[in-house]
Amino acid sequence: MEIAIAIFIGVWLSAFFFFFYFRIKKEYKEVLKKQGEDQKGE
Amino acid sequence: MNVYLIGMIIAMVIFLIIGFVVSKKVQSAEDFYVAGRQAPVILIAGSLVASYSSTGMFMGDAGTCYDGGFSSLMILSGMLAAGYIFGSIFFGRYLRRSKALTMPEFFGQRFDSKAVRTLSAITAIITMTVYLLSVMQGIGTLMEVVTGVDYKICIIVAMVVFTLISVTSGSRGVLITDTLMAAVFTIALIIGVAFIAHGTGGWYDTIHHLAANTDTSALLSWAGKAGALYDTGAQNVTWGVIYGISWMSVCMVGPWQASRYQMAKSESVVVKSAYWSAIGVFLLQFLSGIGAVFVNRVFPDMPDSTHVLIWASMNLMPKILGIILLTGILAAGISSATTFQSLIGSMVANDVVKAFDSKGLDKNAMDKKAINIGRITMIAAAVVVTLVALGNPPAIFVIMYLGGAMIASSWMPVAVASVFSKRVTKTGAFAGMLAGFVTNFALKLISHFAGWSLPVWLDPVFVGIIVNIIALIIGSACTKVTEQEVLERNKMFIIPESEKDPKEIKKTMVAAKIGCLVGAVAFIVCLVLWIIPYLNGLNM
Repeated sequence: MEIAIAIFIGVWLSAFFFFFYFRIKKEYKEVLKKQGEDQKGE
Repeated sequence: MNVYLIGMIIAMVIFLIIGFVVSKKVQSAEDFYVAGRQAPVILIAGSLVASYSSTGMFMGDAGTCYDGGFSSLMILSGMLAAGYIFGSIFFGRYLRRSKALTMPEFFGQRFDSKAVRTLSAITAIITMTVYLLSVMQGIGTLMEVVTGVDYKICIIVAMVVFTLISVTSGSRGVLITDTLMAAVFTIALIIGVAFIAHGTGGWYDTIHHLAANTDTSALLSWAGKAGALYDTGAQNVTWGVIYGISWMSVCMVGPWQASRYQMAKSESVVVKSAYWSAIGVFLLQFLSGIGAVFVNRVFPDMPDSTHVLIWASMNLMPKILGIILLTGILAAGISSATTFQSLIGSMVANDVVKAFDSKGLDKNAMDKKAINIGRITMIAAAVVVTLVALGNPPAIFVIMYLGGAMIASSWMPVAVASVFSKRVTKTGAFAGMLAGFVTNFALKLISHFAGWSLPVWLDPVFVGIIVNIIALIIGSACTKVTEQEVLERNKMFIIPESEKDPKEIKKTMVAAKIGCLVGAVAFIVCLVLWIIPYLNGLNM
């Protein structure tokens, strides 16, 4: 049961970090994509 | 005059000097309230950690771990650390983009409502005043136990010190002193716990001994020791989860946490400082908790368990390290107190007085008036809290948890809805915030004075959150979202041009990737330093 607690803590934190990573990756990917298109246009 | 008193005096003088030097650079309300919005990662993370860590953690939580609530505190700590990640990415960035000076101002802008702004300011001021009281009691108790000076004199001295820091230097000084204090107590705790383990017979040997002994084997078990919090393992785990949500809410949207993001130089600073804070706070909770548990081997049945780390500092480590750790704990208390005080001042000035009274003044005049009102409020708050602290017996753990719980029940659902919901209206936000706050406060007071013992699943914070959500939904369903509210919500998601630098974006992405390891680090720390040696000890 103690191991279950450690797994819970690890999974809880990891889930937030992974969600956070993919969320900002998606946001910044759109920004970088748009910058690339703007540069091509120039 | 004992050496601990000398060490504490030296530390307080250093912090005062820093506060005074920084005060020379305060030129505007932006400087005073949000450090000119130029703070780097180290100052934001340092302030987040220092504002979270107070005498509540080093005395209240440590005492609970000593008594047998370690496992519940670890569930709570693991959960709350995630609040930094959620809070920075899904709230802190938007808070910063709004250019609001305070969080109530952000709520006021988002919902286009002075009423929501004023209510959020009032709830925050009450919450932080309550929390400031617990911190003051902790500081007073710590100084009295360590130095032998009367509790009342200690409280007054501490009040003068942190008031001078907050009033003269504002948030810039608070950030710098916070970071210094965080560095002192973090380093001192890491080394100090190593010495505690050495003094109790070695890290693994102590855990084996505690596990193998029937009187102490429950201390590190998943269920905890009956009576430390509740009587059964299921109740203790439930407590850990409920207060994990409560403290996660504080780390997500609590004014003394999320307001740090308003001072950041850029959004990547917000993101990077969050994950450093997450791992920092978890490790501090783990180390202070397990260090407290270890003391059971050499000093079981301590009369007041909130003194456990104080006793350990004075008896289980070299004097110089004990002085540094105790000074660090004092610093943790003062850093939290300065944060609360500066926020109370800024909210009264910015959200209660300035929101209603600009009398045609130009910006400079208004800024000057706001800073002065802020300073007067800080002094008034300090005096009021000091008078109460002088009169009341210490109840550090309970009062601190009430402060955190009030933010969870009044702010958290509204703050999350302000970002994620297109349907929430100002009426819903106001109703939710008020209902959540009143429910939690009333239930807590009634259960205390009537002597009720509420079941863990009916804890006031949990009931308050549910009532808040219900009121939020009903209030929003009965009213329509205005065009201005739609506009304000959409504005939040526009990434500012300054945040589109490809180099900065790359740095943030690398930092975010590294952050994904935090969960693994926490898991390994628990496994290697607690669970495996504990299970081995049980088999002995």
